[in-house]
This record gives sequence, C-alpha cells and structure tokens, in this order.
Amino acid sequence: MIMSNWLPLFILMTSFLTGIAIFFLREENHSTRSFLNIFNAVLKIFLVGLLMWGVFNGHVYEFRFPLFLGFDIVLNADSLSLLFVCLSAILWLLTTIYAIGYLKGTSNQSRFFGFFSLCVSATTGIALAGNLFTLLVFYEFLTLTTYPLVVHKGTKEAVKAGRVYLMYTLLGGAVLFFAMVWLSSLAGPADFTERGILSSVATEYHPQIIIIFFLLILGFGVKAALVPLHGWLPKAMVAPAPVSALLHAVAVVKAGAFGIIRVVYDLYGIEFCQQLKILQGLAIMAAITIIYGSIRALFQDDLKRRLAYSTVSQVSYIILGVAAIGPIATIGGIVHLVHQGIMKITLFFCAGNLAEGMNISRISEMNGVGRHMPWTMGAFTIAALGMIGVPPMAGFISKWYLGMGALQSSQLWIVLVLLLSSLLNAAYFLPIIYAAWFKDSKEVSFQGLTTKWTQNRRYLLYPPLVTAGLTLLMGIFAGLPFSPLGWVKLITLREYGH
Amino acid sequence: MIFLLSNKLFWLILVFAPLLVACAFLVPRWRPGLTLLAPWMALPAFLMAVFVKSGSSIRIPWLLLDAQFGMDATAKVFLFFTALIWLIAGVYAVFYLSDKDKKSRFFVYYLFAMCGNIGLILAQDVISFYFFFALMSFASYGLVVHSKTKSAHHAGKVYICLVILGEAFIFSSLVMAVHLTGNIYLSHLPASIVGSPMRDIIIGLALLGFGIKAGALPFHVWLPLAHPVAPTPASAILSGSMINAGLLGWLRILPLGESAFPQWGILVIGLGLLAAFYGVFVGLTQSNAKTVLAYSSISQMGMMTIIVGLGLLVPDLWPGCWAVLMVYAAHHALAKGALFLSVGTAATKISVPLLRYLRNFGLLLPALAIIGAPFTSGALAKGSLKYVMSSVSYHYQWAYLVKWLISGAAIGTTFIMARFLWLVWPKKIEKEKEVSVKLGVYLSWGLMLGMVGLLPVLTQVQEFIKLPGKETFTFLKWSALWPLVVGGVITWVALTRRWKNSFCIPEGDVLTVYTRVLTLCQSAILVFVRFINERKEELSTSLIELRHRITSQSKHIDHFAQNFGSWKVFGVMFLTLFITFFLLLPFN
Repeated sequence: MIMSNWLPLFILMTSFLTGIAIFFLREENHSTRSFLNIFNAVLKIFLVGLLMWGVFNGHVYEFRFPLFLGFDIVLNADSLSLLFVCLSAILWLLTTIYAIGYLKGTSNQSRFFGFFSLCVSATTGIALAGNLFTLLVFYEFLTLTTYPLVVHKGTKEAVKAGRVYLMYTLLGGAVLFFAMVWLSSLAGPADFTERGILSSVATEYHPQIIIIFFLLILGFGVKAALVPLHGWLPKAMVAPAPVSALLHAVAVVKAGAFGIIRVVYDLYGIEFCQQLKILQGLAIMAAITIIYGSIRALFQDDLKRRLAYSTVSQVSYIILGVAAIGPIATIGGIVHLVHQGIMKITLFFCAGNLAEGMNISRISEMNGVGRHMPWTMGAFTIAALGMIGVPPMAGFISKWYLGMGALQSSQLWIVLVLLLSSLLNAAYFLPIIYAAWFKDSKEVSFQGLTTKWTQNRRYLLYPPLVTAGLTLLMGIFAGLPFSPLGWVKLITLREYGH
Repeated sequence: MIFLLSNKLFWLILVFAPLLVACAFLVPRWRPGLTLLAPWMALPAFLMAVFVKSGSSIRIPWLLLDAQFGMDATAKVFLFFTALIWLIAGVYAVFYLSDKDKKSRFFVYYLFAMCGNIGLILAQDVISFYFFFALMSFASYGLVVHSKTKSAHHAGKVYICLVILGEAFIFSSLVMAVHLTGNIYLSHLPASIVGSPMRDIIIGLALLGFGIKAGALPFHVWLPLAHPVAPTPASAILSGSMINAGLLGWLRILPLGESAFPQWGILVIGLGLLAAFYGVFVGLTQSNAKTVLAYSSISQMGMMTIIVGLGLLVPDLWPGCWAVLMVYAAHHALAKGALFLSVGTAATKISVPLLRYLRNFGLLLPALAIIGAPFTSGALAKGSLKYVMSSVSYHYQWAYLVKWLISGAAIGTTFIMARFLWLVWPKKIEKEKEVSVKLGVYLSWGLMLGMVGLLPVLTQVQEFIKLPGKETFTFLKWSALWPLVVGGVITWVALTRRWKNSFCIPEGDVLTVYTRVLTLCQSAILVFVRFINERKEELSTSLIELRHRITSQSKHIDHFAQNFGSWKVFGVMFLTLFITFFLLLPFN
C-alpha cells in the first residue's frame, strides 16, 4: 500500500502546515487560529492512532526521500518512535488548549503559535526519523524553532536567555554533525535498526567508534541537560509557561534523551555497547546529573527554576535506565520518557496557573494557596508525589523498574542513587505541598483571583487536570497492554530480541 | 459467599469503597451525610474478618502490576482488630469533633488512611502492599496536623520526614526481595530471601523501614510527638491500628520460621527489650496523658519485637510465636485504642453516681489489660509469651533471663499505667474545667471497652488462633497478679510519700539529639555552598573584566559580541559549517 507509506509524512505535515498557515493569519484572527490549531492537533492524534493500529498489526511504514551521497530523509514508524510521537501528539493538543487561554489578550500570538506548531513538527520529525541524518536535520530544526519561543516575551532577560540557549544547542548540534559525518565515513549512511548496526564495523575502528559515541552523547546531552551541559535549561525558564511545559515534557529535553536512546539501541545496539564497555561512563554521568540537579533544586525559591532543576535530574533517569544494561532497566528508562513528560507538564501548567491566577512565582509566597486554587494545587500534588515515586502514580512504576533493572545488572549503586534522588525529590517537593495546603497565609492578604484567571479558567485548568489524571491512570493501570508500560515492554522485547 | 469471593468487583469495592466516599466529599452538599457514613466503611472489612475463611484470594491483572488480594491467617487477625478500631474510633469522632468544616476535612484523611490500612492487610502482592502502606502513611499526616497548632506542625514535620525515610528503606528492601523471588507475591518472598547473599541487606532494610512505623528504637521519636497532638480518635487509630502495620510488614517480608538467623534474632530481641524498658522509663517522666500512652506503645511494641526476634532466632518455634504475636497484637491494639479514647471521656461531668463508678471502671479496665491482670486479654498475651520463652530456654540458656526481664517490664507497665490514670483521673479541683460529652462518645467508648473485655473469650471461641501448649486459659491464672501487686504497692508508696518528680524528658527524647546533628550538617552544607558561591562570583567578576578588556580593545569584536546571538550571524555560520562538512565528505 503506497498510501500507508505516506502516513508518517502526513503526521509530520499536520503540525508543520498548521505552523506555516498560522504565520499568514492576521494577529486578531483569534478564532480561526484556535480552530486551526485544535483541529489539526485532533487530526494528528487520529492519524497517530491509525499509525499505532497499523504498527501493532505488523504493518511497516517507511517514507524515503533520497537526497545526495546516499543520505536519505527517512521517516519510519517503529514501536519506539510511536511512543514518542504519541506523547508529543497528545501533549501538543493539551498545551495548545492551555496556550490559547494563557496568551489571550497578549500580542504576537501568530508568531507564537506558528513557531509552536513548527516546534512540535520538529519533535515529530525527531521521533519518526529513520536514520541519524534525518534525526539531525530535525534536531537542528527544533533548535531554530524553539528560539523564538524562548525569547517570546522580548524582555532583556528573555533575549539573554535565548542567546545562551542558542549557543549551547548550536554548539551541541555542530558536535553532533561532526560525529555523524565521521561515523558515516566509517560505516556509511545507514538506517536505524533494532539491535543496532555498528557491530559489523571492523575491530581496528573500534577506538574511533568509541570516540564518536561520546561525541554523540555530548551533542544530545546538551538538550538532555546532562551535567555539565545543563546551563541553558534554568535560564530558559523566562519563556511563557506553555513553552516551558512543552520544552520540559516533550520537545527539547526529551529530544536529547530520545536521541541518546536511538544511538544506544538502534545505532550501536545494546550488545555492541556492552562489548565496547561504553555504558558505564554514561551511567555515571547520568547519576551525577540526577544528584546534582536535585541538590540545586533544593536551593531554588523560584518555582519554575526549581522545576527546571528537577527536570535536569529526572531526565537523567531515562539515560540511567538506558545505561544500566538489561531489559528491565530499559523498560524503566524508556517508560520514564512518557511518565516524566506527563508529570512535568502538569507541574509547569500548575506553575503557570499560579502565576496567572495569583501572581505567584516564588515558593515562599505559596502559603495557603491550596485554599484559593484547590484544583490546580490538587493536580500539582499528584504530579509532585509522582515525581518522588509514591505509588500509585506513574513515577513509581519507572522507579520500580529502574531499581529492578539495576539489580538485574548487579549494579547496587544505582539503587542507592535512586533512593538518594527520591529523598531529595521529597525534600524539595513536599515543602511546596506543605506550604500550599497546610500553612496559613495570614501574613499575606488575599486580594482575590485575577480577572484573567476567572475568564480563562477552563482553558488553564482542564489541561493540568487531564495530565494529572493520566499520571494516576498510567500508574494504576500499568498492567494493561496499551498502557505506556505495556507498550514499552513491546519495544524492549524487540530491542533485546528475546 | 463463594461466588462473592471469586468476584473481583466484590474485593475491589471492599478495598476501594472508602476512597470513593472520600472523593464524594468534593460535593459540599453531601458532606454532612458523608461524615455520618464514613466510619461505617470499616464495617464490611470487619464482617469479612469474622466470616471469611482464610485461603480465599483473587488476582486482578490489570490493576497496578498484577495485583492480588486475599485473606490468610495473619490478615484475618489484623483485619479483625484494625477494622474494629477504625469503626469505633470513627463513630467516636463523629460525636467528638465539633467544628463542621474541620470535621469533613478530618474524615477525608480518615477515609484515605483507612483504605490504606485495610488494603495493606488484604494485599497479597508487593506492589499493592507498598501502595497501601504509602497511602496510609501519607494520609495520616492530615490526621496528625489536624489541630493546626504549632506543636501539631512540628510533630507533622518529624512524622513525614520519618515516613519518607521509611518508604525509602521499604522500597529498597522490597525491590531486592522481588528481584530474588522473581515474582511479586508476598507469600513467596520470605523463603526466597533465605538463601541469598543479599539477605542481610534485605532483612536490615525491612527491619529499619517497618520499624519506623512500629515505633522501634531508635526511630520511635515521632510517636510521642504525633500520637498526642492528633485529635483523640485519631490518636486511638494511630496508636491502636496503624502502628501494627509496621509489625505486619515484618511478618510479610522477614524470613520468620524459614531458617535460623541468630545474630539478627539476638539483635532484635535486644532492641525489643531495650524499647520495653526505655518506653516505660521515659514515659514515666511525661506529664501529658496521651504522651504517656505513646511511650507505653513504644514499650509494648518492644514486647512484640521480642517475639519477632524469637522467630528469627529459633525458626522451629515460629508457629507458637506467631500465635502469641497475634494475640498480643490484637490485645494491645484494642486496649490501647480504648485507653486513648478514655482521654476524651475522663475529665467529664457525670452527676449520677452509678454512672460515674461505671465510667471510672471503664478507665481502669484497659489499663489493667495492658498490665496483664488476671481475666484480661493482657494476661492471656503475657502468659503465652512467657510460655514461649520457656520453650526457647531449651535452646538458649539466657532466655530465662529474658523471661524475668519481661516480668520486670510488666512491673514497669504497672507504673506507667498508674501514671496515666493519675493524670486523667477526674479530680475535684478541676470541676470548672469539666465539659459535657455527647452520649455517642460514651457509647462508642463503651463498645471498645466491651471488645477489650471480651477479647480473651473471643480468641478461644472463634478459634482464630491456637495458642501453644496447655496455656490456653492463662488469663485465669492468679499468678499473673504479682507484677500488678508489686507495681501497685510501689506506686502507692510513692504517692503517699509524695515523691516529687522533678525530672522531665522532652517529648520525643533523643529527637533533640537528632535535630542538633541535622542542624550541624545543614550549617556545614550552607557554609560549603557559600564558599562555592563566593568562588563563583569571583570567577564571574574576573570573566566580566576580561570581556570588558577584550571588547574595549576592538570595535569589531565588540560588534561581533553584540550580534553573536542574532539570527543572521548564527544562521550564516551554521550554514557554512554545514556545507563545509558536506564538501569534506567525499574526501573521507
């Protein structure tokens, strides 16, 4: 079926064309823009569902567009890419709804939503990329489309943060590009394949292959915010809340993590990585990032900054799961890609709501907010407990599998890192929950919620409630075959081939 | 009945009904009705404990990671007294709490914690056990800080810190145990731990993690803070039923009766003995009745810890030890629950003399039970514990000494109960302070007292537990009287001679040491952070200087630096890089 091979491209185009079309819309054309956004987001979810159904039934979707020198643009749908596409499609819809409410009454909305859609299409491209070259093209595209979103507010601080962001990510991209060219000269341009492609490279090239591996990790590590490449992330917090939400949950940070997953599993292959003994270094890097991010988060009073450092820490759970060799750790790592995304987007939505509804951006101002914004803080509480790894939230499932995986590969120290990290997570999330629900706000007189909040309450409240609900459901029904855990088990089965 | 038990929906409703009711509290109109309904959510569980035979279980593959619920012998006993305390304390709370807003808030936390407590007893797999344990622990935070006073917040803070620490220990011990077992069924864990090199880590972590909940030394510090500040019915729940969740955790994970672990056994027995005396000693210096009771709980949990230690030491005796432990747990839970509830009924005005005598008898009964006076459940529990100790002394000579020490602890218990009674006993001087209490409070308290009185008979009739040896009717023995008599005489002497107690240990005793150590660590970290920040500032100022020097030297560089982040420059640079690499490619 020729049509079916075009399906990945269609999915990519739903957000890409939406973005282009929005650029041509006039600023005040709110309803058309919103309709276009939401219609296409729903359409995309529908198409992704179609794709998922096909892949589950064993169809192979591959769109190939030859460029030059054997470099092709390849979009293909395997089980891993579907996981990421699905996450980005669902979160795109929710974030769009949220952003419509959030940006109501502000200027430059066409620019915002245009780049927003382009950014999502870049993420989709990264997910569907069938080889390193395609992945890289979309990776750079993502950098360029997120920059205008980071500097959207146009303040001095925003422009400065944007510059830092660009410097980090473009340098990362350049390193990646270099690594790709080097790798292609050794192994030729090859598509991602389950269980890897590089094991056939002659032994004398192995030292080079190892260097390339670390260059690739360096390149992707910038976006995945591996310490010490994380500097841009807390600065990028100046972006509007929906941007931060998407950035942390699925777009930029996850693109880095996803890249590392692709490199380890589908480029090198887990068995080959084991043979080269290169994963231990990655695991240590991830562990340092986890602990460092959590410790930095402890000392932040700005809510979004604390969440940002929490992301630094949590995204490395994914990398730790990948680096701790073994199918169970892999399950834990990859499933955290979804779980962390859902939980973190909830937290950022809530942080945005607090800023919109009560002009609160600092934790020290949050005393007693639970009484005024109970739904928002309810969603926040669920997601924060999930981050700590309290059952039945989704975060617990990740933590459990990571712990089991660490033991399976007899690396007891990883369990220790997990424990220390959950203790630190508790240390920086529980005080927020405590302040919101149990502290009295006597010293601050409450002037009522802002009019903007009361007018746009639905747009701003439903997305975090949905994601908080998903956080619960993904944990409670983790045993179902179509839960993220079920799907990740399918992926892992294919990566390990037994 | 069999149909019901094989029906998943039945088990799900049984376990999760409290959660549904708690969610229904979201509708303000329903709240008054729901507060009346809430306590009765424990009734189905109680009926189940009475009527369902052990052995029935059900698997629910789509819930969590393949959940399994079921009833076994241990669960039956624990469910019996746990559900009973929740039910009675709940009814008590309906009448006892006055403020309406606060009441519905109380019952939301109450229902969540109840769901956790009942669920963890019925859970047969590790994941749901851990889930319900966490649910109970986190929800009862709301009960602890209910009064919102400063001391309540302080107690809550200490409580939640230890909960988090406990969760971490429990998580790691469970992960390791499941890794060894290969599946998540609780019943498979103990046997598979035995042969593994990791067993000592698992046992140690389980002892620590569940020990926090059970108030074992040295993590007992939260008990004397949290139990007294909670509203009286919540104290009864915390000290009566929830504390036993820690004990249940030990029973579920530790390889009791599987193989001998002499080192662990002796350590646990030692810690138990220490707690038994330590609780009495510190408790005697307290001047708040509820704090005295909390320390008594530490002491009594120490007794139960000794029995767990015996299981680790002499596996052959475990069936007997198990039975003693069941009786002891049920006895202590009900009696301690009744004692806490009596705090709310003691200082009240009763004009009818007969009723007043009845009330005073009600204050005495559970205290006598805890001491182990003849005809009470305490006599049954302590008598059979001594019987087991005699069997242990065939294996270990020093068990005789332990037996005597236990008797010594019983005298101490007499002191501490006397101290409690002295503190709550209605005094004539405080007549103005007397408050009238609703009838429902008395009735529920009376019901609890009735259960305390009936327990020794119930255990025999129902054949819940087969106690070892001929000691079944120990509770009739008059020889159980001597600790009471000795303790009573000394107390009487102390009172008549007016021995003044000027010695007072703050609530939470060693907690002050812990906090001091923590503050020291914290200030050390802060000093370190400040040091780093200073270095960082120095570095950044020198960097800025450097940049100024460079920019001032050349206008071109200045211009470039300004436009470095701009679109065009970067775009062009990147494109050039891109093209250069591609041009280089063929040469490779």
